[in-house]
Amino acid sequence: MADGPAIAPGDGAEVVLSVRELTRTFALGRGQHVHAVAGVSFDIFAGETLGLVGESGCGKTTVGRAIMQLPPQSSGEVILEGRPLAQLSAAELRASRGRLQMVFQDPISSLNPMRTIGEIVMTPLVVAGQHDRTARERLARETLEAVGLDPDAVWKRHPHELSGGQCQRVSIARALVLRPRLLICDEPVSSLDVSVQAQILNLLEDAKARFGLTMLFIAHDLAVVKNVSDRLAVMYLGRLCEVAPSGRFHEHAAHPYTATLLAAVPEARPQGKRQRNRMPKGEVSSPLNPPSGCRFRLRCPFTTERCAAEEPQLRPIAPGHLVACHFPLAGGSADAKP
Amino acid sequence: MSAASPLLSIRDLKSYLRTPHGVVRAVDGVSLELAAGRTLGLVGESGCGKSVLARSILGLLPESILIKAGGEIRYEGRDLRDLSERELRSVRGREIAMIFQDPMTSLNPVIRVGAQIQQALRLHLRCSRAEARERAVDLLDSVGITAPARRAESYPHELSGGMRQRVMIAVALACGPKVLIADEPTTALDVTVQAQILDLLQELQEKRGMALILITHNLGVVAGMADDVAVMYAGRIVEHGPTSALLAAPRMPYTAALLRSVPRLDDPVHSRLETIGGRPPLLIEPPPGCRFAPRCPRATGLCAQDPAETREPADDRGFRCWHPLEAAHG
Repeated sequence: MADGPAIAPGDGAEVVLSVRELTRTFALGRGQHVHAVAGVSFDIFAGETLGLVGESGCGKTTVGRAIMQLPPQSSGEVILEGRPLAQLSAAELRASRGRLQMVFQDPISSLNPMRTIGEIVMTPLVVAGQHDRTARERLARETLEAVGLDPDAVWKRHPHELSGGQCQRVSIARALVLRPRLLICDEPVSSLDVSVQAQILNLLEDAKARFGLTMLFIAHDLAVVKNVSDRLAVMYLGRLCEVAPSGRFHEHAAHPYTATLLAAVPEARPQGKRQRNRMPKGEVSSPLNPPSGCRFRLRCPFTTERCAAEEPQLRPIAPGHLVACHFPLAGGSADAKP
Repeated sequence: MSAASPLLSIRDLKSYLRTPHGVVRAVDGVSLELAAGRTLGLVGESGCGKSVLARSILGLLPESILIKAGGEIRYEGRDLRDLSERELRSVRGREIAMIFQDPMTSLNPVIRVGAQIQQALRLHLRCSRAEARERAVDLLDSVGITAPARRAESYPHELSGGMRQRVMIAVALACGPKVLIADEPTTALDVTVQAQILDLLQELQEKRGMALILITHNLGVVAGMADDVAVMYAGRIVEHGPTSALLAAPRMPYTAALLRSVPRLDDPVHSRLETIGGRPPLLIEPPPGCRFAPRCPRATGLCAQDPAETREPADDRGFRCWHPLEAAHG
């Protein structure tokens, strides 16, 4: 049996998105396949931000795209507000886009360079069948204002005339113009300078409050994800290894991989020279040929025979805190021993 | 910046760039010093001129673009700006080496990595082919590449990002330079791999007593690596000093704002980040006064007119600001 649902404490909150046993396989030719996502389950509750964090190649972007059905999952289910997306017709799926929108990493290449900002932000309304031009324009202008842009100043501009931060604001406006329920942000700030990054993160928090959004925030930067997320899910080689309320991570990280990630984040504080050799040797194993048992075991300092024989499943160790490890860390801090 | 006599000393350097839109004053009066064996962190956001500064040191900017508008770069008694291309070639790699952000585009994709290290060796040192081959394998071993003899036969695309950066470091270290300039060496890497590469740089530096200029936008990387920090904004160094003191109590408002805009792991969830309003000035026609003044909450009329010269009150600290933040209390 694969891992059970990774849900938060049962407090009766409405589930907006439910992902069950999601897998995504890509064919590489010559009969080879890569399992980019190998069985991931989680729920996102109304009004919360779930952060999905992991290193390149862990499958976090593939999860986001599978939820958008771009392309759909290979197996498993994506259930938005009670409706399994894979079972919808093309027209129904298009209608569901109004409830589910995405912001991408590269703000400049994700905007059509030939269109003006006004056209870009109105496009989702056209696709959604809003035929009244004045209504479209009013909504688009309202949304541009909500993301901190002056609609008159940018309306007739093209993406290349704006800065990276402004383009990301336009992307967010385009995603919000349909007033979606769920917003998926895939590395929305990783190509921006830190001062601009802070502006966009604050903007996303404001937009969430103003439009009552539920969010999935995908990123590699643990400090960024932790700052905006109510709960965090850590992913490694196509699997979830830990899910917990964000506040618990700093003190109570239980998966050795989470502890490794935390220890690797360089922090801008007066600290003297960094300690060396706190990282496990070796690099992320290939998803083409993942190790048997626990996928992190080849880099894990605490690995045993059991880790090779038996794949650990996500299980609760505290309220709302799930970990997929046979020997979760007790103290949980980055330097703790099990 | 340090008591020991500097190995590399840059005085009032001005490197301007010709562009279709006009002359960009990318580096506009930068002074800094680097002592043997020390690490200087050069921090700034995109477009502040930090990479142009690094490339100016090694004369890597094409003559057709670069305008040498003044200043000097003294290395062991010589001004690198006066050297001919031929003389510079004997400095590059052998005395001062450089590694770049993207190891994929900086390594030659059609040459095996071992051969690329041998090229660097044979360019500067008199050694036979066999010796060069042996030393290349030793170098790969010293940068932590497992099975170095086998890996020497690999092409860059066969290696992971972290391994490619290790190869780049091996190429840079081939001739035992005294100064290594690392321009965003870990920006393209995952955090755990970044930590491994920083480990390696620290270890090699200790072993070889090499001086390091670490250019990065990541204040966290600087905090753990650098003895001294120089913060660059709009073509100028706006604050410098010993790393811990500078991070604990920045004097220049830009440094302070930059530090507060980065989320920290121990911040409470959903804490609001400080932002810096506006954008850096265009360096084609920079404002006459302090370049940060248009965005600075402390700016006055004086700041808009007069660029503050660098003040060095004490403790190796220096900053360009008319209205600095309080010095550390206690």
